[in-house]
Amino acid sequence: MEKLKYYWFYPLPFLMIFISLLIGPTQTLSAWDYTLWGVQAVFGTPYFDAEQFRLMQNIIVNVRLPRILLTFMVGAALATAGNGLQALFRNPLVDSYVLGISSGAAFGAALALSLSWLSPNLSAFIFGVCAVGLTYLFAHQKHASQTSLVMVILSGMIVSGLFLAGLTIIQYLSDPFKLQAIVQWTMGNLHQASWQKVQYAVLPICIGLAGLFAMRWRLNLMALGAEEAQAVGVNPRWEQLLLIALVTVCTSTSVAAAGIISLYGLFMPHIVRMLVGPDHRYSIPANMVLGGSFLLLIDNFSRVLLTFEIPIGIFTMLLGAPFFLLLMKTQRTHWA
Amino acid sequence: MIQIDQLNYAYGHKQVLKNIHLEFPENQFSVILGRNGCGKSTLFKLMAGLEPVKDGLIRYSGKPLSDFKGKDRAALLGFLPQFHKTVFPFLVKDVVITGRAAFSRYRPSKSDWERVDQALLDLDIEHLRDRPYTELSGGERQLVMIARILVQAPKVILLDEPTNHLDVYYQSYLMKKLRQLSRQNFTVIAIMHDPNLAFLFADHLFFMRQHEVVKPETKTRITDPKFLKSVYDVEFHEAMIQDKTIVIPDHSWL
Amino acid sequence: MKLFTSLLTLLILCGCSSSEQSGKAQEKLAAHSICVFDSTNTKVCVAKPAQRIVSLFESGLDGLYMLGQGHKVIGIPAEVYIQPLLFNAYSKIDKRIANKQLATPSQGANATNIESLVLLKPDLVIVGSGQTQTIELLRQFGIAVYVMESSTYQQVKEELSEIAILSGAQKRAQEILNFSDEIVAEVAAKTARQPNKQSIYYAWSGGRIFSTSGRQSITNDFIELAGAYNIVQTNTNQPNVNPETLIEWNPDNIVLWNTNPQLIYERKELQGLSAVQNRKVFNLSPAFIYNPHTIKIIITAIYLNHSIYPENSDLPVSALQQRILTKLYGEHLAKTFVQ
Repeated sequence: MEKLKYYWFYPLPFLMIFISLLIGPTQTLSAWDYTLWGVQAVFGTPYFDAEQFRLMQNIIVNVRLPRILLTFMVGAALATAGNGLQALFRNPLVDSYVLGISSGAAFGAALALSLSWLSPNLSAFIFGVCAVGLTYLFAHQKHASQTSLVMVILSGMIVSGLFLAGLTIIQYLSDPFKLQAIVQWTMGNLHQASWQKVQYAVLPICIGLAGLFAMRWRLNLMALGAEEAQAVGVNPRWEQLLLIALVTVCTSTSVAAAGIISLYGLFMPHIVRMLVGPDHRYSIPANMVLGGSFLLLIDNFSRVLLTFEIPIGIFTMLLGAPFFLLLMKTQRTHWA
Repeated sequence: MIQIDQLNYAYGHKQVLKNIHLEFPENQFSVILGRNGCGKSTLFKLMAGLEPVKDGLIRYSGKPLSDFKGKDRAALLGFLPQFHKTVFPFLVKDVVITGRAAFSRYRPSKSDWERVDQALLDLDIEHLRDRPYTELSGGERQLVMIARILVQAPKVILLDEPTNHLDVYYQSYLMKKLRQLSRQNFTVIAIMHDPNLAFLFADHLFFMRQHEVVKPETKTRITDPKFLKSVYDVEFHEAMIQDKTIVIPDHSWL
Repeated sequence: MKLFTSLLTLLILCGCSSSEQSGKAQEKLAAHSICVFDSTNTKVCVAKPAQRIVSLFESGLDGLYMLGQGHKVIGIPAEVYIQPLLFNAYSKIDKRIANKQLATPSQGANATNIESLVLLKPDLVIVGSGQTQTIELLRQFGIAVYVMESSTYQQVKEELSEIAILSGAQKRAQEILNFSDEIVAEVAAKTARQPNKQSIYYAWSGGRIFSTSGRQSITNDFIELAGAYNIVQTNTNQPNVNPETLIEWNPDNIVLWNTNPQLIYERKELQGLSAVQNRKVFNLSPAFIYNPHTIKIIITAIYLNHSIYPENSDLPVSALQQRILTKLYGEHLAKTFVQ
């Protein structure tokens, strides 16, 4: 399969969003009904009476639209952050959770749900950022001119373990109601999307993505190696810090808004890389577009298949893994 | 061009460089020779700015290296690191253009791409332009890295054992290119351990032995076997081919 | 090596023998004693009505106080001290709890300290069905362990009378159960007078308004007792709904557990629901008097019944609640619970 021309991707989000607006679990109203609603909204042809029209409008504007937007943003954020980190660590096996973010955020949410002191999403964001800070602190060695990346991964594992232990303690001491709330939050809660969540998430994610977009060419340099960067007169240290900060903002906001969606940030960059190649000038924007669209596609499936909500993380694996396997088998990869 | 004064360096308690005094002239091809472990690589790291200088002074055109920052640094100095392992299959042209990273912040400009094409042409590797870097042989990769430095166009080029993984063809090819570059307004300094290639292609030679710089007693004969024995601990015999002198290790035990 | 294997065999034999002994102890009791079958279908026997009772199941503890056997309680679950709602309520019932004098050999649903429990020398331990390892261990020590679930209305009644049997309060239990049957009959009679049966959507606390309960749950039971039907038709215990589905169902009433109804009224997407427009969102608070795992489920039923089917001849709900609470706890306490 030839590398896809990247300019086909840009109309994709709008198409996906449009289609997703028509899809939903309502048993009495079908996608065709919603299309008619759209026609009525634009042209005024009276297919539905006023009350029914308002009901459908309410569903589209207040239920579907925020969820679609949030899903797209979270998908884009996770995929792009994963791509950035894979470049930084020169390791295609990392995703943004390797820095300890997911464990920190889960711990923060559990703490908030248990003690009711902050909203769980805000608490998750704060502790996610703390986790990354701790990881970097542990990995930093004074006498080395820059932080070794192996040390960062090891510290990430330690920090993850610490926060997971904390999470387990909280779960152990909680009563069944709180425990249920904690478990449900951690599994992923896109179905609780609201305009408020969208408002909180849009600014940090846009900042994170804009920063990663600006750095897309420099990621090529970083991916060659730290010494290779110094060889051409660039000090990689500040750029590494900036990259980690951007990735943290993207991922923490995603986890705070939607819970933990495992492995999406790991395999999505691979899929994109197989389609557009390793050059980050193309893969970063592609990750934004395809990452958002694919998660939206998966969410559409989960909405349509069952009346009751199942966490999206389950579907990302059930649907993402076969697609990934298919690409793995059919593409020539040039891994060294 | 480059002056090193009273440079000392230690890893913990181990003294790796003792009182180094060196001067590298501009627009010449200089080579530093010595056995493994004599301190050449450490010297290289200090000259390239990979490790901070604690005791002593390294001056480029009269100013210490730490005075050069950002673009100035990139315009002054470029080096070729010893090992480069790449995980991602970037195309050769994308690898070469990263040499402009210090000058073009966010995206390479048209003139940058023109430089890339010129550099590939200069090194006769333009046929590799659109190939994935990970598919190349050791010698080709080395040349791509050198093309990267050409695109950066610094005044000084430092190389650490550039001929190590190359076959005979690429070894002489590379040495020829380095000498040509020194005539094209670059100052080239390489660290090597094979004396013959250095004798054949370099303008200036410097020797290190056990963490110190050593010089032959008389300036004339650096190929003097007695001197070389003190540097390499090997018996050599001199031989003259056309107008050049080479040395071969003693083989009387055969 | 030989010494090691012989020591090992000795230890194994010791282990076997102790369980045999406790088995024999139980059999001796069974001959002439008071026995019931608990929710795990195990025979639980005491030689005479229990005098020292440890209850690690909060609803069971509540039941003991209602039966007037509170003075026999020597151990309570830790959540009574930790959760402010529970602590406030129980402090009013028992001074020892207010002064934190009662022992708590457990820390939440999973962490029971067996040693401290055994040191209390209880003759009856009431435990929730989730703590399987604790139950096994205690039974091996020969202690009478009564396992409670209280997951349906029927089971709540059964278990109340069984605890009464074990603690010698059968008469009181009969009183309470007769009373609750009366109340249920009254509610049923009122419901029969209504033209249509209304629907209820129940949402869990903590702001998880899209987390509800299915047809096989205690929630479903009190909805039915209240004379309504659960709008959720699946059997899953705690499903999550898509907001669209909720809008489509359009339930007549929304019931919340210890949550501010403003949370529902604020949601833009729920503005169109008839329950929101008719202000039929009800909050079960203070949670203590509505605990559906105890016989107070009838308070929940009566509160909901009167809220969703208001009639001109109704006594105010608070009066009805007082009547029930007085029956269960006595007049003095009943007033303090709703302050």
